[in-house]
Amino acid sequence: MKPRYFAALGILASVSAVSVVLARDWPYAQRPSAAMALGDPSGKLVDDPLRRAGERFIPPELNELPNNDWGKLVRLGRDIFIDTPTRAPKFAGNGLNCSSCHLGEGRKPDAAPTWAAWPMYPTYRGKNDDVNTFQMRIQDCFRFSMDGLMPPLQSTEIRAITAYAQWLARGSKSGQILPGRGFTPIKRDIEPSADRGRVVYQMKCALCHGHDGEGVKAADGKRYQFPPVWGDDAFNRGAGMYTVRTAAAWIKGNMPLGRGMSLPDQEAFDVALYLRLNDRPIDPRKGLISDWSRVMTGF
Amino acid sequence: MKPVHTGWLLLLGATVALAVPKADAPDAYLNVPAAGNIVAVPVSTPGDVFLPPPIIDIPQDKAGDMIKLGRLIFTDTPRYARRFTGNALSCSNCHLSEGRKPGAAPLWAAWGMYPMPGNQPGEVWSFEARIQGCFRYSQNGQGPQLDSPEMTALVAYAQWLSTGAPARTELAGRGMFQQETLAGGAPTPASKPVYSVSHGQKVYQFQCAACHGADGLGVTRKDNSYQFPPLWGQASYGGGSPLAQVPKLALFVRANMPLGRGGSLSETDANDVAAYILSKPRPSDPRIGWRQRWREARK
Repeated sequence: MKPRYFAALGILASVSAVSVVLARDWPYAQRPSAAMALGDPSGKLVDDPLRRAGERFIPPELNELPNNDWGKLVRLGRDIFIDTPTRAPKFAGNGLNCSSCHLGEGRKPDAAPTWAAWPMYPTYRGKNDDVNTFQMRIQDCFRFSMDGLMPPLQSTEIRAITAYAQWLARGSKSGQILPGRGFTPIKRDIEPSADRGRVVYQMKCALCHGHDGEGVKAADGKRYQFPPVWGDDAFNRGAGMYTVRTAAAWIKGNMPLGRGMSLPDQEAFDVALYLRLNDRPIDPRKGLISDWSRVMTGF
Repeated sequence: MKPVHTGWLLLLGATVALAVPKADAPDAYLNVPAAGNIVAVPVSTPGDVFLPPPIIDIPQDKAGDMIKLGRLIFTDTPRYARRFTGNALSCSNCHLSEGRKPGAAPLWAAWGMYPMPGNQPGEVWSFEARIQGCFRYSQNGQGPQLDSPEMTALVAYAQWLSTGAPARTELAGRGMFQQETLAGGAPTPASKPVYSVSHGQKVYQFQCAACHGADGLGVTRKDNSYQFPPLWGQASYGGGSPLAQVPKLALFVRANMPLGRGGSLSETDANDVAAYILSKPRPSDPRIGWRQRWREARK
């Protein structure tokens, strides 16, 4: 065999090897700037208004509230909902508000709006294999998503948030599944990739949530303007957002802020997996060791 | 005399008895009312009042099991919520037809109205707190804890019963008296109600005693459970119950009693029979100590 055949074989092998390396995470790992433009043209903005009569349930306006004791309780519930660490400091454990996930003060469709959740409770939840009232559901939010303590069922915080949710749902029919309930539907058979997810995060999410997922603080230095997505001030490993598919559905419907439904399902899954693999508080239902093994294995 | 003559005479007598005003003939109600006098209060009339779902619609899952438990507690409280009740009454003794009947404080009309402002300034009643009040005052027991299965089951039953009922909307048939559903019409506000206990006793003996017993202690089955609830005595409701107030009890009696003939009693008869029932001994209001009761008794 002549040496030039060896050279040709070597060139062929090296080209194929390079192409395999290139194709591993193509197009995101190699040329992300070419794969995704940061600024989509304005025509691609998805308009998802909060108030569109006939298609979505319309929650009441804040100025429709009467000024009696009940109205004050509802207002307190709204204050807690949008400023939880300040208004419920006994129970909130991190930097998140209720409205960090339940966007638009709990009004936005596809962001688990409270007006769509209220008519469905009490209901069975597989998470704790029991029938839970709405108040118990709020307790779970505090325990997992806010990495804090469960407010007692008779506490002012629970009563206020319940009153707020029920007022937002005024006119909705009990037991009725409203359009926009929960999160937007997303595919199940998707294999997420954390490498792609990191790239998508750095390109589309890091502007607001920080390159290290630390969020952006407001001018007072205490509250968060954009919530942290991992780290000590983010939701813990017991939260629903820690589940990749749940987080992907939420991200697909709502992120980047104001441009919901702009990410493909694949990218939403990738970012969700990337968020999951970062460090965050442990699951309070588990001991440190058993949760540490979860950290080490990644799942 | 031939039988046909007897029938005609009876009919004539009934007509005369009905035509004579009750003020002129105080013993007119001693006659058994003719069939035409029976007022049918519809339990489920579509379009007229809200129609709760039939029990066959209870879902066959764990949430449905909780709803079924709630219905059992509601209709047989001394058996299924034994640790919280203190007397022989079930929820459905006042909330008639398993909490479905309009004019008898149906659950489907109450569910959407809570939380609502309470009596004291700054007080807001939740639905759960209302249930606790029922247990404490009307059932002379203790309020179930907010996280007890009894409470969850009752809330689940109420929420399921109001499937399709709009939240925070006043529904026809809510509370104890609805003029739309009664032939008797709205209660005329008496400027200065004067109750006659002796007249109430007469009304009681002829209209109520057949079921509730001449001694007012109800009718028991063989297993000592109650077929018709006691109206006074230690097995009846306590002094803190809403029905321990003459106007409210009169409204309930007028709208619902005698069973199946709601609206057939006149306002005077209802007021007097309520005054008669409440002149009898019953468990005391747990909020009031013996010292205050003694002081009030001396007035």
